Amino acid sequence: MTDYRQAQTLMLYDLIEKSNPGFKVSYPVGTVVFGIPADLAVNPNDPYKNDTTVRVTPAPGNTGIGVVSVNYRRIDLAKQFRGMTIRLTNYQVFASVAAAVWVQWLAEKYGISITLDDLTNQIAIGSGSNTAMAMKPSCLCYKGTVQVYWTRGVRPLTDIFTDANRALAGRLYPGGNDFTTPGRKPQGEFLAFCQDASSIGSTLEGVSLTGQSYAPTDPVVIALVDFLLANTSRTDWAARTAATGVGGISNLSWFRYVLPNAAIPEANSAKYNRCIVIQSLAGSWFAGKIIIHYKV
Amino acid sequence: MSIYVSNTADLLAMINVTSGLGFVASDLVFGTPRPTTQAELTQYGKNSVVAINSAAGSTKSVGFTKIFYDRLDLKSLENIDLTSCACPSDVALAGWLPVVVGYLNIPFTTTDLVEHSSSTVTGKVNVQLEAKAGSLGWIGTVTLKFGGYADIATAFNGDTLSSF
Repeated sequence: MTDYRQAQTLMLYDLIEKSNPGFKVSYPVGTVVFGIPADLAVNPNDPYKNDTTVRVTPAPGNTGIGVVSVNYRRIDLAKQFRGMTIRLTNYQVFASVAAAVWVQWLAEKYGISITLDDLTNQIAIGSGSNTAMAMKPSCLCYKGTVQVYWTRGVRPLTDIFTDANRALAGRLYPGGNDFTTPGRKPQGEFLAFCQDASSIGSTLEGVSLTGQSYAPTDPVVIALVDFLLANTSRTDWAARTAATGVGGISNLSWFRYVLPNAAIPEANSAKYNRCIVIQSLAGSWFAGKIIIHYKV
Repeated sequence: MSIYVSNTADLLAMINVTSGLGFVASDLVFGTPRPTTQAELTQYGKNSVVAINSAAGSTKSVGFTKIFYDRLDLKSLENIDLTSCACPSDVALAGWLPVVVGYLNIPFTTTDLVEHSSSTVTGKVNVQLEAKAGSLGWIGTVTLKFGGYADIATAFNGDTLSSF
Protein backbone atom coordinates (compact mmCIF):
# COMPACT_ATOMS: atom_id res chain seq x y z
CA MET A 1 0.00 0.00 0.00
CA THR A 2 1.25 3.43 -0.88
CA ASP A 3 2.33 5.74 1.92
CA TYR A 4 0.03 8.70 1.35
CA ARG A 5 1.96 10.91 3.74
CA GLN A 6 4.98 11.23 1.50
CA ALA A 7 5.35 13.76 -1.31
CA GLN A 8 3.34 13.05 -4.45
CA THR A 9 6.43 12.48 -6.58
CA LEU A 10 7.49 9.76 -4.14
CA MET A 11 4.00 8.27 -4.14
CA LEU A 12 4.21 7.99 -7.94
CA TYR A 13 7.74 6.60 -7.67
CA ASP A 14 6.44 3.85 -5.40
CA LEU A 15 3.58 3.15 -7.81
CA ILE A 16 6.04 2.72 -10.69
CA GLU A 17 8.25 0.48 -8.57
CA LYS A 18 5.34 -1.80 -7.68
CA SER A 19 4.61 -2.52 -11.33
CA ASN A 20 8.28 -2.37 -12.36
CA PRO A 21 10.36 -4.04 -9.66
CA GLY A 22 13.96 -2.85 -9.78
CA PHE A 23 13.11 0.52 -11.23
CA LYS A 24 14.45 2.24 -8.13
CA VAL A 25 17.74 0.37 -8.49
CA SER A 26 18.23 1.67 -12.00
CA TYR A 27 16.82 5.08 -11.29
CA PRO A 28 17.04 5.93 -7.60
CA VAL A 29 14.77 8.58 -6.15
CA GLY A 30 15.64 11.95 -7.61
CA THR A 31 17.03 10.72 -10.91
CA VAL A 32 13.85 11.06 -12.95
CA VAL A 33 11.42 13.89 -13.51
CA PHE A 34 7.72 13.70 -14.18
CA GLY A 35 6.00 15.81 -16.80
CA ILE A 36 2.63 17.43 -16.38
CA PRO A 37 -0.02 14.74 -16.17
CA ALA A 38 -2.78 14.66 -18.75
CA ASP A 39 -6.25 13.17 -18.63
CA LEU A 40 -6.70 9.85 -20.30
CA ALA A 41 -9.93 8.38 -21.60
CA VAL A 42 -10.70 5.41 -19.39
CA ASN A 43 -10.63 2.09 -21.16
CA PRO A 44 -13.65 0.07 -19.99
CA ASN A 45 -11.56 -3.07 -20.11
CA ASP A 46 -8.79 -1.63 -17.91
CA PRO A 47 -9.08 -3.28 -14.49
CA TYR A 48 -7.35 -0.30 -12.88
CA LYS A 49 -9.52 2.30 -14.64
CA ASN A 50 -6.47 4.42 -15.33
CA ASP A 51 -7.41 7.97 -16.18
CA THR A 52 -4.07 9.78 -16.28
CA THR A 53 -0.89 9.64 -18.25
CA VAL A 54 2.43 11.25 -17.50
CA ARG A 55 5.84 11.30 -19.18
CA VAL A 56 8.82 10.10 -17.22
CA THR A 57 12.34 11.14 -18.26
CA PRO A 58 15.77 10.95 -16.66
CA ALA A 59 16.52 14.05 -14.66
CA PRO A 60 19.02 16.49 -16.18
CA GLY A 61 22.55 15.64 -15.21
CA ASN A 62 21.93 11.89 -15.07
CA THR A 63 23.28 9.37 -17.50
CA GLY A 64 19.97 7.90 -18.54
CA ILE A 65 18.27 8.69 -21.79
CA GLY A 66 14.85 8.25 -23.27
CA VAL A 67 11.29 8.89 -22.23
CA VAL A 68 8.38 6.73 -21.20
CA SER A 69 4.72 7.43 -20.57
CA VAL A 70 2.98 5.68 -17.74
CA ASN A 71 -0.74 5.43 -17.15
CA TYR A 72 -2.23 5.44 -13.68
CA ARG A 73 -5.29 6.55 -11.80
CA ARG A 74 -5.20 9.71 -9.74
CA ILE A 75 -6.98 9.74 -6.41
CA ASP A 76 -10.37 11.42 -6.68
CA LEU A 77 -10.80 13.45 -3.49
CA ALA A 78 -14.57 13.43 -3.86
CA LYS A 79 -14.44 9.64 -3.61
CA GLN A 80 -11.76 9.46 -0.95
CA PHE A 81 -13.81 11.69 1.34
CA ARG A 82 -17.21 10.40 0.25
CA GLY A 83 -19.63 10.56 3.14
CA MET A 84 -17.19 12.63 5.21
CA THR A 85 -17.14 16.28 6.09
CA ILE A 86 -13.66 17.70 6.01
CA ARG A 87 -13.80 19.84 9.10
CA LEU A 88 -10.71 21.56 10.41
CA THR A 89 -10.97 22.66 14.03
CA ASN A 90 -7.76 24.56 14.53
CA TYR A 91 -7.30 27.70 16.56
CA GLN A 92 -5.74 30.81 15.17
CA VAL A 93 -5.97 34.43 16.28
CA PHE A 94 -7.51 35.77 13.08
CA ALA A 95 -11.12 35.27 12.02
CA SER A 96 -10.11 34.12 8.54
CA VAL A 97 -7.55 31.48 7.71
CA ALA A 98 -5.38 31.68 4.59
CA ALA A 99 -5.23 28.79 2.13
CA ALA A 100 -1.55 28.25 2.84
CA VAL A 101 -2.44 27.63 6.49
CA TRP A 102 -5.56 25.51 6.16
CA VAL A 103 -4.10 23.28 3.48
CA GLN A 104 -1.30 22.50 5.90
CA TRP A 105 -3.82 21.75 8.68
CA LEU A 106 -5.65 19.46 6.26
CA ALA A 107 -2.46 17.62 5.39
CA GLU A 108 -1.66 17.17 9.09
CA LYS A 109 -5.13 16.00 10.06
CA TYR A 110 -5.74 13.57 7.20
CA GLY A 111 -2.15 12.54 6.50
CA ILE A 112 -2.15 13.46 2.83
CA SER A 113 0.43 15.43 0.93
CA ILE A 114 -1.59 18.12 -0.77
CA THR A 115 0.19 21.47 -0.92
CA LEU A 116 -0.81 25.00 -1.81
CA ASP A 117 0.54 24.56 -5.34
CA ASP A 118 -1.96 21.77 -5.99
CA LEU A 119 -5.00 24.04 -5.52
CA THR A 120 -6.74 25.96 -8.29
CA ASN A 121 -8.49 28.28 -5.85
CA GLN A 122 -6.34 29.44 -2.99
CA ILE A 123 -9.15 30.98 -0.98
CA ALA A 124 -9.18 31.93 2.69
CA ILE A 125 -11.93 30.48 4.88
CA GLY A 126 -13.84 32.42 7.53
CA SER A 127 -14.58 30.83 10.87
CA GLY A 128 -17.60 28.56 10.65
CA SER A 129 -17.54 28.76 6.87
CA ASN A 130 -16.29 26.58 4.02
CA THR A 131 -14.70 26.69 0.60
CA ALA A 132 -14.30 24.35 -2.33
CA MET A 133 -10.87 22.80 -2.59
CA ALA A 134 -10.30 21.98 -6.28
CA MET A 135 -7.18 20.25 -7.58
CA LYS A 136 -5.21 21.71 -10.46
CA PRO A 137 -5.10 19.55 -13.60
CA SER A 138 -1.33 19.45 -13.13
CA CYS A 139 -1.60 17.82 -9.68
CA LEU A 140 0.33 14.58 -9.90
CA CYS A 141 -1.69 12.27 -7.64
CA TYR A 142 -5.01 13.94 -6.79
CA LYS A 143 -8.01 15.27 -8.70
CA GLY A 144 -11.53 16.39 -7.97
CA THR A 145 -13.13 18.90 -5.63
CA VAL A 146 -14.22 18.73 -1.99
CA GLN A 147 -15.62 21.21 0.49
CA VAL A 148 -13.39 22.18 3.40
CA TYR A 149 -14.95 23.58 6.58
CA TRP A 150 -13.12 25.50 9.25
CA THR A 151 -14.16 25.98 12.86
CA ARG A 152 -11.96 28.31 14.79
CA GLY A 153 -11.86 26.10 17.85
CA VAL A 154 -10.32 26.68 21.24
CA ARG A 155 -6.79 27.84 21.77
CA PRO A 156 -4.37 25.01 22.64
CA LEU A 157 -2.33 25.37 25.80
CA THR A 158 0.79 24.76 23.74
CA ASP A 159 -0.06 27.89 21.79
CA ILE A 160 -0.59 29.89 24.99
CA PHE A 161 2.56 28.67 26.68
CA THR A 162 5.63 28.50 24.49
CA ASP A 163 9.26 28.08 25.46
CA ALA A 164 9.44 31.84 25.78
CA ASN A 165 6.81 32.17 28.49
CA ARG A 166 6.27 28.77 30.10
CA ALA A 167 8.36 29.82 33.11
CA LEU A 168 5.86 31.60 35.33
CA ALA A 169 6.76 34.62 37.38
CA GLY A 170 5.46 34.88 40.90
CA ARG A 171 5.03 32.61 43.91
CA LEU A 172 7.09 34.79 46.19
CA TYR A 173 7.62 35.25 49.83
CA PRO A 174 6.99 38.89 50.67
CA GLY A 175 10.32 40.55 50.01
CA GLY A 176 11.41 37.98 47.47
CA ASN A 177 12.56 34.41 47.23
CA ASP A 178 15.82 34.92 49.04
CA PHE A 179 16.33 31.59 50.74
CA THR A 180 19.79 32.29 52.11
CA THR A 181 19.71 35.67 53.81
CA PRO A 182 17.91 35.79 57.15
CA GLY A 183 15.61 38.71 57.60
CA ARG A 184 13.40 38.47 54.54
CA LYS A 185 10.64 36.29 55.77
CA PRO A 186 6.85 36.14 55.67
CA GLN A 187 4.53 37.59 58.18
CA GLY A 188 5.19 34.96 60.79
CA GLU A 189 8.26 36.71 62.07
CA PHE A 190 6.33 39.87 62.69
CA LEU A 191 3.89 38.00 64.82
CA ALA A 192 6.68 37.61 67.37
CA PHE A 193 6.04 41.25 68.19
CA CYS A 194 2.37 40.65 68.17
CA GLN A 195 1.28 39.76 71.66
CA ASP A 196 -2.24 40.60 70.58
CA ALA A 197 -2.40 44.29 71.38
CA SER A 198 -6.19 44.20 71.41
CA SER A 199 -6.13 45.19 75.08
CA ILE A 200 -4.94 48.68 74.11
CA GLY A 201 -6.86 48.63 70.85
CA SER A 202 -9.08 51.54 71.88
CA THR A 203 -6.02 53.73 72.48
CA LEU A 204 -4.49 52.71 69.19
CA GLU A 205 -7.78 53.33 67.40
CA GLY A 206 -8.27 56.68 69.08
CA VAL A 207 -5.69 58.60 67.08
CA SER A 208 -5.13 59.12 63.40
CA LEU A 209 -1.91 57.35 62.47
CA THR A 210 -0.87 58.53 59.06
CA GLY A 211 2.86 58.80 59.13
CA GLN A 212 3.37 61.60 61.64
CA SER A 213 6.22 61.42 64.13
CA TYR A 214 4.82 61.04 67.64
CA ALA A 215 6.53 62.76 70.54
CA PRO A 216 7.69 60.67 73.54
CA THR A 217 4.91 62.26 75.59
CA ASP A 218 2.14 61.30 73.21
CA PRO A 219 -0.42 59.04 74.93
CA VAL A 220 -0.32 56.48 72.14
CA VAL A 221 3.47 56.17 72.43
CA ILE A 222 3.33 55.76 76.20
CA ALA A 223 0.55 53.18 75.98
CA LEU A 224 2.46 51.16 73.43
CA VAL A 225 5.73 51.27 75.37
CA ASP A 226 3.92 50.04 78.46
CA PHE A 227 2.34 47.28 76.48
CA LEU A 228 5.60 46.15 74.88
CA LEU A 229 7.44 46.20 78.19
CA ALA A 230 4.73 44.09 79.79
CA ASN A 231 4.29 41.62 76.98
CA THR A 232 7.63 41.04 75.26
CA SER A 233 10.92 39.70 76.48
CA ARG A 234 12.70 42.85 75.34
CA THR A 235 13.22 45.15 78.35
CA ASP A 236 14.51 48.29 76.69
CA TRP A 237 11.40 49.56 74.97
CA ALA A 238 11.32 53.30 75.51
CA ALA A 239 9.61 56.48 74.44
CA ARG A 240 12.87 58.31 73.92
CA THR A 241 13.95 59.63 70.55
CA ALA A 242 13.97 56.55 68.42
CA ALA A 243 16.88 57.23 66.15
CA THR A 244 19.30 57.71 69.03
CA GLY A 245 18.26 55.02 71.48
CA VAL A 246 17.80 51.29 71.15
CA GLY A 247 14.22 50.34 71.95
CA GLY A 248 12.80 53.77 71.22
CA ILE A 249 9.61 53.97 69.20
CA SER A 250 8.70 57.65 69.09
CA ASN A 251 9.66 60.12 66.38
CA LEU A 252 9.27 57.49 63.69
CA SER A 253 6.68 57.09 60.94
CA TRP A 254 3.54 55.44 62.29
CA PHE A 255 0.75 54.01 60.21
CA ARG A 256 -2.40 52.12 61.04
CA TYR A 257 -3.89 49.66 58.56
CA VAL A 258 -7.20 47.87 58.40
CA LEU A 259 -6.43 44.25 57.53
CA PRO A 260 -6.38 42.57 55.14
CA ASN A 261 -4.68 45.28 53.17
CA ALA A 262 -2.79 45.07 49.91
CA ALA A 263 -0.51 47.89 51.04
CA ILE A 264 1.16 45.66 53.61
CA PRO A 265 0.66 42.06 52.54
CA GLU A 266 3.23 40.70 54.96
CA ALA A 267 1.02 41.76 57.87
CA ASN A 268 -2.22 40.21 56.71
CA SER A 269 -3.47 37.71 59.22
CA ALA A 270 -6.50 35.59 59.75
CA LYS A 271 -6.50 36.45 63.45
CA TYR A 272 -6.32 40.25 63.44
CA ASN A 273 -8.07 43.06 61.63
CA ARG A 274 -5.78 45.98 62.50
CA CYS A 275 -2.08 46.61 62.68
CA ILE A 276 0.20 49.44 63.64
CA VAL A 277 3.34 49.79 61.55
CA ILE A 278 6.30 51.75 62.89
CA GLN A 279 8.68 52.42 60.05
CA SER A 280 12.38 53.02 60.60
CA LEU A 281 13.99 56.24 59.40
CA ALA A 282 17.55 57.00 58.32
CA GLY A 283 19.81 56.45 61.30
CA SER A 284 17.25 54.55 63.36
CA TRP A 285 18.40 51.86 65.76
CA PHE A 286 16.63 49.29 63.61
CA ALA A 287 15.90 48.85 59.91
CA GLY A 288 12.55 47.94 58.45
CA LYS A 289 9.28 47.82 60.32
CA ILE A 290 7.84 46.93 63.67
CA ILE A 291 4.36 45.57 63.16
CA ILE A 292 1.92 45.26 66.03
CA HIS A 293 -1.35 43.44 65.46
CA TYR A 294 -4.60 43.82 67.30
CA LYS A 295 -8.28 43.11 66.82
CA VAL A 296 -11.20 45.44 67.30
CA MET B 1 0.63 37.98 48.71
CA SER B 2 0.76 34.83 46.73
CA ILE B 3 1.60 32.47 49.58
CA TYR B 4 -1.54 33.46 51.45
CA VAL B 5 -3.86 31.88 48.91
CA SER B 6 -4.23 28.21 48.00
CA ASN B 7 -1.61 26.64 45.76
CA THR B 8 -3.99 26.31 42.83
CA ALA B 9 -5.27 29.87 43.23
CA ASP B 10 -1.70 31.11 43.23
CA LEU B 11 -0.80 29.06 40.14
CA LEU B 12 -3.93 30.24 38.34
CA ALA B 13 -3.00 33.84 39.09
CA MET B 14 0.45 33.31 37.63
CA ILE B 15 -1.00 31.51 34.62
CA ASN B 16 -3.43 34.34 34.02
CA VAL B 17 -0.64 36.91 34.10
CA THR B 18 0.97 35.03 31.22
CA SER B 19 -2.13 33.99 29.30
CA GLY B 20 -4.46 36.89 29.94
CA LEU B 21 -7.34 34.44 29.49
CA GLY B 22 -8.82 34.56 32.97
CA PHE B 23 -8.65 30.84 33.72
CA VAL B 24 -10.68 29.69 36.70
CA ALA B 25 -10.20 26.52 38.71
CA SER B 26 -12.67 24.53 36.62
CA ASP B 27 -10.79 25.29 33.37
CA LEU B 28 -7.55 23.46 34.16
CA VAL B 29 -6.47 20.21 35.75
CA PHE B 30 -3.05 20.24 37.38
CA GLY B 31 -0.82 17.19 37.29
CA THR B 32 1.70 16.23 39.95
CA PRO B 33 4.68 18.57 40.04
CA ARG B 34 8.27 17.36 40.03
CA PRO B 35 11.64 19.03 40.48
CA THR B 36 13.21 20.30 37.28
CA THR B 37 16.16 18.49 35.77
CA GLN B 38 19.48 20.30 35.61
CA ALA B 39 18.87 21.06 31.93
CA GLU B 40 15.40 22.44 32.65
CA LEU B 41 16.71 24.48 35.56
CA THR B 42 19.35 26.00 33.31
CA GLN B 43 16.84 26.79 30.58
CA TYR B 44 13.90 28.05 32.61
CA GLY B 45 15.41 29.03 35.95
CA LYS B 46 12.61 27.46 37.99
CA ASN B 47 12.76 24.63 40.49
CA SER B 48 9.55 22.81 39.55
CA VAL B 49 7.55 21.72 36.53
CA VAL B 50 3.93 20.63 36.34
CA ALA B 51 1.69 19.46 33.52
CA ILE B 52 -1.57 21.30 33.03
CA ASN B 53 -4.50 19.88 31.11
CA SER B 54 -7.47 21.71 29.77
CA ALA B 55 -10.58 20.53 31.54
CA ALA B 56 -13.14 18.76 29.39
CA GLY B 57 -15.51 21.29 27.94
CA SER B 58 -13.38 24.31 28.76
CA THR B 59 -14.04 27.18 26.40
CA LYS B 60 -10.66 28.77 27.04
CA SER B 61 -8.17 26.13 25.92
CA VAL B 62 -7.62 22.60 24.70
CA GLY B 63 -4.78 20.13 25.09
CA PHE B 64 -2.03 20.11 27.63
CA THR B 65 1.40 21.54 28.22
CA LYS B 66 4.06 21.94 30.86
CA ILE B 67 4.77 25.05 32.87
CA PHE B 68 7.72 25.90 35.07
CA TYR B 69 7.53 27.77 38.37
CA ASP B 70 9.08 28.02 41.81
CA ARG B 71 7.80 25.96 44.68
CA LEU B 72 8.79 27.59 47.93
CA ASP B 73 11.22 25.94 50.33
CA LEU B 74 9.72 25.44 53.78
CA LYS B 75 13.21 25.89 55.19
CA SER B 76 12.76 29.63 54.68
CA LEU B 77 10.32 29.62 57.56
CA GLU B 78 12.91 28.43 60.05
CA ASN B 79 13.84 31.85 61.41
CA ILE B 80 10.30 32.70 62.40
CA ASP B 81 10.26 33.41 66.10
CA LEU B 82 7.38 31.44 67.58
CA THR B 83 8.66 31.48 71.15
CA SER B 84 5.61 33.38 72.31
CA CYS B 85 3.15 31.25 70.36
CA ALA B 86 1.50 28.13 71.72
CA CYS B 87 0.89 24.81 69.99
CA PRO B 88 -0.44 21.53 71.40
CA SER B 89 2.13 18.78 71.89
CA ASP B 90 1.82 15.10 70.99
CA VAL B 91 -0.97 15.59 68.50
CA ALA B 92 -1.15 14.46 64.89
CA LEU B 93 -1.04 16.74 61.87
CA ALA B 94 -4.77 17.32 61.97
CA GLY B 95 -4.35 18.67 65.51
CA TRP B 96 -1.53 21.15 64.97
CA LEU B 97 -2.24 22.18 61.39
CA PRO B 98 -4.99 24.70 62.25
CA VAL B 99 -2.66 26.28 64.83
CA VAL B 100 0.18 26.68 62.34
CA VAL B 101 -2.19 28.03 59.70
CA GLY B 102 -3.59 30.44 62.26
CA TYR B 103 -0.20 31.87 63.16
CA LEU B 104 1.32 32.00 59.68
CA ASN B 105 -1.86 32.59 57.69
CA ILE B 106 -0.40 30.31 55.02
CA PRO B 107 -3.15 27.89 53.98
CA PHE B 108 -1.23 24.61 54.23
CA THR B 109 -3.41 21.55 53.75
CA THR B 110 -2.99 17.84 54.36
CA THR B 111 -2.16 17.48 50.67
CA ASP B 112 0.91 19.63 51.23
CA LEU B 113 2.39 18.09 54.35
CA VAL B 114 3.60 14.68 55.47
CA GLU B 115 2.05 13.33 58.67
CA HIS B 116 4.21 14.12 61.71
CA SER B 117 3.12 14.43 65.32
CA SER B 118 4.10 17.44 67.38
CA SER B 119 6.44 16.73 70.26
CA THR B 120 8.00 18.54 73.20
CA VAL B 121 11.79 18.93 73.06
CA THR B 122 13.62 20.89 75.77
CA GLY B 123 10.57 22.86 76.72
CA LYS B 124 9.48 23.77 73.22
CA VAL B 125 6.78 22.16 71.12
CA ASN B 126 8.40 21.07 67.86
CA VAL B 127 6.33 20.73 64.72
CA GLN B 128 7.94 19.33 61.62
CA LEU B 129 6.60 20.64 58.35
CA GLU B 130 7.68 18.31 55.55
CA ALA B 131 6.36 18.94 52.05
CA LYS B 132 4.82 16.01 50.25
CA ALA B 133 6.46 15.21 46.93
CA GLY B 134 3.22 16.07 45.15
CA SER B 135 2.60 19.40 46.86
CA LEU B 136 1.88 22.06 44.26
CA GLY B 137 3.30 24.86 46.33
CA TRP B 138 5.98 23.59 48.66
CA ILE B 139 9.24 21.69 48.91
CA GLY B 140 11.70 20.97 51.68
CA THR B 141 11.24 20.60 55.39
CA VAL B 142 11.46 22.76 58.51
CA THR B 143 10.92 22.33 62.22
CA LEU B 144 8.95 25.11 63.89
CA LYS B 145 9.56 25.58 67.60
CA PHE B 146 6.69 26.90 69.69
CA GLY B 147 7.61 28.28 73.07
CA GLY B 148 4.29 29.46 74.36
CA TYR B 149 2.25 27.92 77.15
CA ALA B 150 -0.61 25.62 76.37
CA ASP B 151 -4.03 27.13 75.82
CA ILE B 152 -4.91 28.79 79.09
CA ALA B 153 -8.36 27.21 79.01
CA THR B 154 -6.73 23.81 79.59
CA ALA B 155 -5.62 24.98 83.05
CA PHE B 156 -9.17 25.74 84.17
CA ASN B 157 -12.01 23.48 85.14
CA GLY B 158 -14.58 26.23 84.87
CA ASP B 159 -15.15 29.88 85.53
CA THR B 160 -16.30 29.56 89.15
CA LEU B 161 -13.77 29.93 91.94
CA SER B 162 -14.25 28.66 95.49
CA SER B 163 -14.52 31.05 98.40
CA PHE B 164 -11.46 32.26 100.37
